[in-house]
Amino acid sequence: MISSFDPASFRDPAGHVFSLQDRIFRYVHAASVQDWRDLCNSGLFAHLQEKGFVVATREVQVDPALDPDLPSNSVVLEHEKVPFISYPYEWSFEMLRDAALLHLELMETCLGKDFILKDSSAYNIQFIGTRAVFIDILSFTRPKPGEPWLGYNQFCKMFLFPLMLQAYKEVPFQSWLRSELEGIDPVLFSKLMGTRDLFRPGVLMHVWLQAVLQNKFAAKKRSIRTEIRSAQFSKAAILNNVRGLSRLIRKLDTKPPSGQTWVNYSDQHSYRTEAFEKKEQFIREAIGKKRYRLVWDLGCNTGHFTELAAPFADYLVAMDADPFSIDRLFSLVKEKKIPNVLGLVMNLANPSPDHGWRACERQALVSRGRPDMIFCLALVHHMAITENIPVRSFLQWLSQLGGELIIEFVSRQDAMVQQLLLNKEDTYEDYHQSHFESCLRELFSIRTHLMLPSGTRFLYWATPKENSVARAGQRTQSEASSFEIPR
Amino acid sequence: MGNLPVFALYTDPGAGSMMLQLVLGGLSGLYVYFRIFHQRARNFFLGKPEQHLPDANHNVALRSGSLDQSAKVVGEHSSQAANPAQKL
Repeated sequence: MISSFDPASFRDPAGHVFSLQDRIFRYVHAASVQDWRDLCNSGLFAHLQEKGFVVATREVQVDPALDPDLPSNSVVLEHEKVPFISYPYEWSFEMLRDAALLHLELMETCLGKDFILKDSSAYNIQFIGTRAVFIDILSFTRPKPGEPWLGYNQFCKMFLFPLMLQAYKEVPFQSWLRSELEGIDPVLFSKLMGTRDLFRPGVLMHVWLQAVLQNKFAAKKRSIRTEIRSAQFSKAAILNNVRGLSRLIRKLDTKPPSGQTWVNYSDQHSYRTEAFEKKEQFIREAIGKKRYRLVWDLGCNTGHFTELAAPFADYLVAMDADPFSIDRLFSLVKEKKIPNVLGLVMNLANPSPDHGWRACERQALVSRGRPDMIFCLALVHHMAITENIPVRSFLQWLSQLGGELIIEFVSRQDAMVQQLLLNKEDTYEDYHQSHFESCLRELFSIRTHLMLPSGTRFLYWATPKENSVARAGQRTQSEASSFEIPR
Repeated sequence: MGNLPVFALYTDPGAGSMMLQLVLGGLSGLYVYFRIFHQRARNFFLGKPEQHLPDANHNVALRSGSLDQSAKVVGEHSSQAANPAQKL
């Protein structure tokens, strides 16, 4: 019995991904074996692996005793395991742009060797740190003579339109991609474009004309694909389009709306340099005692503390709800060549759920790997006051993750908290240090704590208590079924 | 490769998007555009029926698993593996 087929690997009949003994394999359907052989024999795959464009892959033989269900005549590939799976709706603008440019570069390289990518799903790309890698090896195939680029429409929906949405309309694409897993439809997207937008690069052709043609040809009974193929569409024409898209995407630009993001937070935060240094020292001492497998930095801003922890962990996932902060983090980490930091756009009050087909096509955040260390610095006040999440409930969620915790409590006397409360009715009776500490002690063992010199901020290093995960789970269930959520 | 159904397209390329590529393909694309209309005119005057996608049946075969013939042919290629596989 195959240990587990990847529930997202069902669309392409060319093969399936499965995991066995914590390793990642891909079964290649007999009908697609020839494509795989061609890809290897052409030297293209070795070239792409050397460049780091595709995930490291080797052909293996699976012992039939391990997996009697595996069809005979099958080819099995083993892939390098991506440290933490992420999805396009969790990427920032620069990440999606890098993924799009990788896809176009692969197209151009492939066409030079008489190959093509048969689809353009953004889910075919993963990030290992800041490096985008192509993971769907079975997308490489020989082009059929005379056919156009069949993945063009999908490329627009999953890469170009989301990037244009942010660059031209200043609307972050993440929420749209999270609800529409196939991307943004050309007809729908064209409705957002005003007359002035038609003069922006790429809008007239890729958006407006595509929408018009999609409407015009939707009901036609003749096969456009066959007609184009008979008329012999050339590789040169595909290359023209690919290169044009690449130029267009490189030129797209986005800037954060003024006063709405956390990009400049590290320059603006309210506590003094001395306090900041003490905070760094506390964190360095806590994490320097052993090597961590996976660190989550929740509410990471531009990743200052993620960077600090990078030498002490195998891999770090830094999350923030602000896409511009993640963009900044991505650029900084890339510039400093830190290989083990992945930034994700994530609203922790509404983290990525299980969804897609049968709610298991795309995994929830917590199903993709549990951290053994969690940073939660200057975040609790936002969860409690901005998002109205009870302090106890938030700490329960953290304890369920199962890792050690470095958490900062910002008291009511702090300028940041006072600013949050400026225009709100203060109903946050649970937002007091005594209540916070009592909940923390219930779920975690506090190893050490520190009051920062400002006198308004407190740091705790804690480890989850045994069975606190189970207890927290039960309580969360009972709270969810109650109309009164205790504060 | 003959008629092997190796190009199993599972996404809809979109008829309108394919037509758009004739424009985005530059001169090469426009050339194809005129060839299509030339073909249509020719078929009209010769009374030929409209063309249908020739590999639609292959895609159905892939999904239904009726791939005996192709599997046999591919199997011959499989035995000529370029790289000897590693035993797991």
